[in-house]
Amino acid sequence: MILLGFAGLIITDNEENQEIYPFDDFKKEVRFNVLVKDYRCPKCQSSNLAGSNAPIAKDLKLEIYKLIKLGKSDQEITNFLSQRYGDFILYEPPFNSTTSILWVGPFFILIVILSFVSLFVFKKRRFASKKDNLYVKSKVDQQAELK
Amino acid sequence: MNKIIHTAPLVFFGFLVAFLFFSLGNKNDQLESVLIDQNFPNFSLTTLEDANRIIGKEDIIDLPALVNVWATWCITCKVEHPFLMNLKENSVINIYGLNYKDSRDKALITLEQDGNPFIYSIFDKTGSLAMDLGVYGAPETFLIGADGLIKVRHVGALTPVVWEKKFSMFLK
Repeated sequence: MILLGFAGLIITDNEENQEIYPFDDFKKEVRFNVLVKDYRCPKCQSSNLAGSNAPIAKDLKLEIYKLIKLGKSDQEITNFLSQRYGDFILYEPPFNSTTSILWVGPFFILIVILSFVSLFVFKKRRFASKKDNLYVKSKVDQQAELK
Repeated sequence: MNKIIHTAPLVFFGFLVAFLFFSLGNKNDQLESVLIDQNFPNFSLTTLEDANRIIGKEDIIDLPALVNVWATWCITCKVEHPFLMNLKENSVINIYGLNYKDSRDKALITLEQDGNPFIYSIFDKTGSLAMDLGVYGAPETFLIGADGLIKVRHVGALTPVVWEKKFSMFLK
């Protein structure tokens, strides 16, 4: 009974995902499959177009399909989508004034952290070498005293 | 000096945690429209009321006006409907409908039953104009200013609060 239930689930799941986009050119099919993973679904924002069943995601997939069939380049398709839905739906946003923090921010934080780490390491080293000097001095002194 | 250097990473980390923590509750699903201060896209579609009447951008007249994306399958549109009727009855602004991926018969019956706040509705069966507008769900409302440019895009139901906050300043 449970097995049957599982079988039912699998079958319905397959049926739901049965969106067929037939291409005569295998290269175009590959491009399609890459592109639909590269755009975010505007409705359900935590998934890409490929993984979304929202009506708008289906529409956009169909639109991408048509554009590829018309021979549009990846860049043209990206432009088509971002002109309508904004940079938000691109998983690789372009570099401009609003997205600069995305691109520069991590490097900025890295530089801040590296400078702190080097500051600490530098300080420790200096401290350690001072201690060494003291130690050497005292040994010399001790030896001098022994003589 | 030493103290500052030693506490700085902790303070930095603290700010980061606070920022990320408060961002957790930030549930902003309103996408900003790319079309703000842009022209309304060109289109050539029929009206909901008359399958033989082909209209375009130039048929949206008497600006400022609202273009409201709606459908009979959209529950939130039903919630929003009384507010649109209210706008119409008080002659606040002209409202055009954009009937989105719907059936003509069902849409006409709904308007007859619930009242029609629209001057007319653009019948967008395939969602082509909606896609040009960056619509990703219904209801959505666009305000076209007196200069013909899109001023506001709101996703979700219109309410008096939303109206006051986002739309009313463009009507003075």
